[in-house]
Amino acid sequence: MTSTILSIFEKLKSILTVSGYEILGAENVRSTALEVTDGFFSSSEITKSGSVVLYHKSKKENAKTLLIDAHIDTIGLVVSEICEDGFLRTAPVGGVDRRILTTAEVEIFGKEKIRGVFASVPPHLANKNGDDSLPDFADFLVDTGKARDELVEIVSVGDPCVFVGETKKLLGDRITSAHLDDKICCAAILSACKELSGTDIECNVTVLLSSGEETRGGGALTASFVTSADGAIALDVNFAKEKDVPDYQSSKIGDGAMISRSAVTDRTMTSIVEKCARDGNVKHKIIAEVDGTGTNADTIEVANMGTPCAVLSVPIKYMHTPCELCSLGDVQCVSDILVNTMKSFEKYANEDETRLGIRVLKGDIVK
Amino acid sequence: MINLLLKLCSLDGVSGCEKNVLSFISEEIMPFADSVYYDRAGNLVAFKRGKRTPNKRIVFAAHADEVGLVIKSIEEDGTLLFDDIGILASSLPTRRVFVGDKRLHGVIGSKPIHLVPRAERGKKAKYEDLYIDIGALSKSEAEQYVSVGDSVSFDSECVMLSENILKAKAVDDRAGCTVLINLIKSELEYDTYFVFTRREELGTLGAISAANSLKPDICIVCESTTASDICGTPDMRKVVKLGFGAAVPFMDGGTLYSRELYALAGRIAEEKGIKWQTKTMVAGGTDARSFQREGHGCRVLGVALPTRYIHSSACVCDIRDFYAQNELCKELSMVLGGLNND
Repeated sequence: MTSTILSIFEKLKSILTVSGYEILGAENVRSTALEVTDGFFSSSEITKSGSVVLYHKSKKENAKTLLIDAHIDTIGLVVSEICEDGFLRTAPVGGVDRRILTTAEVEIFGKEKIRGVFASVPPHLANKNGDDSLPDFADFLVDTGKARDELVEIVSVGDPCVFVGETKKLLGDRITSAHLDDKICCAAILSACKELSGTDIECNVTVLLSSGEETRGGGALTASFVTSADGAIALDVNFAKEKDVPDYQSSKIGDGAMISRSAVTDRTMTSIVEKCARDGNVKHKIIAEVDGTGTNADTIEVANMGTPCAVLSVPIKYMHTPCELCSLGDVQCVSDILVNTMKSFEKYANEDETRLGIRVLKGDIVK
Repeated sequence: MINLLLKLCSLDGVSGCEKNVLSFISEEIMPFADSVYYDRAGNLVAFKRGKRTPNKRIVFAAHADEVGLVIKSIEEDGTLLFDDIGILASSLPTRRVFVGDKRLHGVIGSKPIHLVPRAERGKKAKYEDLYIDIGALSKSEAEQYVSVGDSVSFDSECVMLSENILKAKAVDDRAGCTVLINLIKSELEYDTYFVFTRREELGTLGAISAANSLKPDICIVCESTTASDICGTPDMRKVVKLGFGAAVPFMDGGTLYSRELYALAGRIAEEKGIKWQTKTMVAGGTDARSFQREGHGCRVLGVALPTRYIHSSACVCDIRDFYAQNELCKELSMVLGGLNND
């Protein structure tokens, strides 16, 4: 099953969806999502902000709707200046650590796709502060190996770039790749949908592959006006245990999925996800992210008229680098929890203990 | 010719573990050389007869080793600590590597930017904070695959960035090795010796024993040399520039090159229309310093390929400079045997 997740991930990874540029890849994301899920979805749309929304309609009348979100956008770079001698200046899109830049390799999406290498910063700029601080982002130039005349024909200011980070298998079921954040979660969702295709699940399922998460969450915010759900799960990557990262803030690679409890997300929806994990004996760790989860859940919870939202995540190491690292077994756990949740959502969302949706106590609701 | 360079760059040969590289080279030159052997220090030596036997011994040298890392400790959490051979810490975070003879995939970890405390953000990476992650979940799992002392090389494919610009690891000094192989494959004017040295990156060590056993009269060291011609760098600090031809230094951090050979190289290059430049900064060091000082001492000359980001996973060089390096060495080989002995 992990091979399904990995192959879906590779398909999604090959589509350029740098934050802010998702619309360029949206049609490709949609057709890929439909192709890999064996008819699970009956309709789909692309929002004006480049999010892809996919709908599974239940046969049951007045069924509850479960929204499952993962962001399709990735961190990256944008060309900010074409300099002399084939060098490009860039600016980060999303959080990029300057420590990883020297000799990092990139793909630049101009009129054609070209490769580049982040040059080492010349000594007079590298040590201008005379201490151990890194040069400014703008001092790191990308070497394209092309003459300026040739370069200006291909690249324009504003063109997106991504870090090169091929997927490689490490020990056991661990892999390293760029853009696990958050395409590995998109893959986990689509794999779960594929698994359920042809079976009758009672709830409606809306899958949102949202844009803009790495740059302020605009995709999930705007999509909340086209999706209408009774409960939601936002899937994202979370911190895996690394050196100097506290246990309470992370989960060990191989210890399964992570489920966040937070004051800004919904406790009832979270408890449904936790039940579904326990029901299937799926490995997971509960983590407290008190005043914010840093995911789309924080947005989905309150956007439009509000949707109770939980956070389910894949632990990864080296987040926002070209060598993000995860266990495919952990991703499978996330996918398994999703399968269980899709199967049981209708039941739990109608039970007293975990009821979701508008509850009328007396009279009519305000239209 | 370029394919041979690409092949050599793709082989792993961190200082001290040059076996794969040397064995590939030996197979490549075996049909063309009159003798091929490993000396006691493990340098690969070849001799090829030319049309004439000169009254002096001419040696072309290039080093087979490359910069890399060596595992020094396996941690409880399965990560690997390392020491470096010739690499700046600042180019290491998040690079991909091969660990050990089994070439396990690994990455050099870097804490997520989100978790770096404000006070530490924007600080340069330090060796003590760096480690390799092969995906092991524990020390015992890692120990099944890795031992302390295993060498680590970069996982970096050869890519042509443009028609003439190559990005690869280990251009330093597989370019020089390729020059030597091409000479051995060609018809030579004079009897010539060739040595593919080990451990250059540890301080030109292999060349010491090579100099003592070969005792050259003239030694031409084919190398790669730092090009700092990055946009924004003042001209005086660029050292050498890509696309401006083979680099022939008059002096570097380790060697005062033979004035006579330096002048000869320049003259031949001009005559034959081969692009050349000299180094505008006295820095770096090559096997030439060992050849100049060991054995009975000898006249040395350097012919180098300008290379950006030279001690990193992503060296960048201009193939036209590589051709110039090859041509200049070939032309030199035609005349060196005829030089006077003084």
